[in-house]
Amino acid sequence: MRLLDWIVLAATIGFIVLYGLWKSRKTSTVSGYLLADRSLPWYTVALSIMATQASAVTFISTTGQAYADGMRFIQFYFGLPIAMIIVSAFFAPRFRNANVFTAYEYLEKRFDAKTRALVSLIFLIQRGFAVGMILYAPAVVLTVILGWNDQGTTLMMGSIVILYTMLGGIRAVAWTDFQQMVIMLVGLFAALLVAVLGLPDGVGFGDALLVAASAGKLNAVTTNFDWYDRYNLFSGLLGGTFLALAYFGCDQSQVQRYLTGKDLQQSRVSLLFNAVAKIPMQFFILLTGAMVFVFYVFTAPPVTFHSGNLKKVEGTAVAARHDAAVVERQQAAYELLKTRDSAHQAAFLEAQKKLDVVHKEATASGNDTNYVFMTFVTQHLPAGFVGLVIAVIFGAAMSASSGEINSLATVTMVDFYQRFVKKDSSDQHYLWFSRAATVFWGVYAVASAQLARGLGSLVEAVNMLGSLFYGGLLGVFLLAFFFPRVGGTAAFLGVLAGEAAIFYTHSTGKVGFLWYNVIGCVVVVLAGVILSVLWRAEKRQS
Amino acid sequence: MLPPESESAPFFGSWKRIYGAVLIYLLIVIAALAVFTASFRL
Repeated sequence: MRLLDWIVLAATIGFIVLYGLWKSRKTSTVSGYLLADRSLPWYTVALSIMATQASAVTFISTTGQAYADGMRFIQFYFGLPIAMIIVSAFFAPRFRNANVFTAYEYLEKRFDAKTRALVSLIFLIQRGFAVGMILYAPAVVLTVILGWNDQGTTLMMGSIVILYTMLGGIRAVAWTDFQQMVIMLVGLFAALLVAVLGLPDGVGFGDALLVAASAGKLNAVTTNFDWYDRYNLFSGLLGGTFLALAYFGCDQSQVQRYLTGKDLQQSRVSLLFNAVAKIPMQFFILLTGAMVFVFYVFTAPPVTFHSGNLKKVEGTAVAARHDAAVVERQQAAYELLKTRDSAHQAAFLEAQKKLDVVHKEATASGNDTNYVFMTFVTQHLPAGFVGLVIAVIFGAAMSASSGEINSLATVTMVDFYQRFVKKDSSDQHYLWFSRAATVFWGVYAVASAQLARGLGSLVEAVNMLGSLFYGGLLGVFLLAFFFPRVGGTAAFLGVLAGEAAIFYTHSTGKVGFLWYNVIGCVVVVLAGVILSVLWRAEKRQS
Repeated sequence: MLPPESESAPFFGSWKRIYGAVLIYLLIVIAALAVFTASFRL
């Protein structure tokens, strides 16, 4: 990091935080603190939804995933537009009409207090785990790449997030998200541009696409069906729809975003903006990863991108074989670009596979997928841009974690404290408690960030953790909306049955995690409906 | 222009066309990505 990078980093983060605090300076009521008095314009809500979902993991891990596995991860988002339509049509109007602060508050209006408490508790457990991972993801990478202390990094980011989330509430969160999202796109575009401009003379963008495709990195649509395969057209369309539906329909961190819209129309537009913008944005991120791959076809990559492990393998026989395989692949790439025929395309793929085998051997002590993008950024981007991209990573981690902390505090305040501990107190008291809950969850996030160590590909860890619980959450909301004769106890037991089914499926290890959402949701709905039918029949008989 | 709507007018209503347009958009995007995937096979 050069001086200019530090200046850009400090100025960007400072500006974002101060702007968020300035926009939220008039927050003095609970409604203002938790829902921004339902006054935000659609574009702020839309970008806030995107920023909360796009954590630092999105940039660090997704680009690395494209580098290693190609672009097929994009299929994970194919279900999102379908889910957005369903949320916009059925979920948003119900939550808005019920005039609730949290999605789970609606469950008590529809079912009973115990169902609300159970679902709120599931949310707190699940997001409580995830918020630590969100903060830890960039810290671990910056530790390895820049030699920063990971505890210091999480502490610094966590302190900034706690400060503006505690002081400004959701207004500060939404407006900082807005800024962070804009800066994220600028930083990514800079990285993509450098990767393409860094190609050797005579190798253009079209050539780069050919090289990436020949190595199987542009596999945006894959149609081979396999239950355990995480990313294909079918798991994306079906599993992805259920996951996105659960995330946007039942996760308070998202529901709270579109409840801040000025009216139902603004909420719906913000959701549909996501439906349209998300896939192109992910395409852009994954394409950046694929271009980084091509960059390293022509510029020799290190044996491992994990600089901590690099010292262990340098000078070994594996490293020598790796370097030879890199040269062989580079020559195959030049041959391919010269001839542009299928025989040389096959030869290049063969050279790539050979390198993959050696690389796997060299990285046996630790996967380096999460370090590819930041190694590229710090070693090849010009001064100033490195600071900007690190600001992007920080911004992404901060926007995602502030959204989570804010929603965790909201559920703690509305669904537990106000509901079960202190029912009739003043607005000022609840505002004070909301701020205290924000600080608690912020401190908890920083502390639990240390638990996220050694979880492999971070983006998958976050998504898998969500999938263990989202099916159950979605099932109970579908029961609430579409099965009017199902009562509270049937719904409550349905959620427990759904969660049991998910954990059992997970223990078998035979099904890809995207399907957990489908399985959990179907079991909750079936169990809820069957129980209520049986009880009604029993009642009639007696 | 988006269709006017009140808070008490839930579900599809006049938004049907917009939802239809989003679905068609999704189909076009998937088709375009499938073409993108296949277009570099020599």
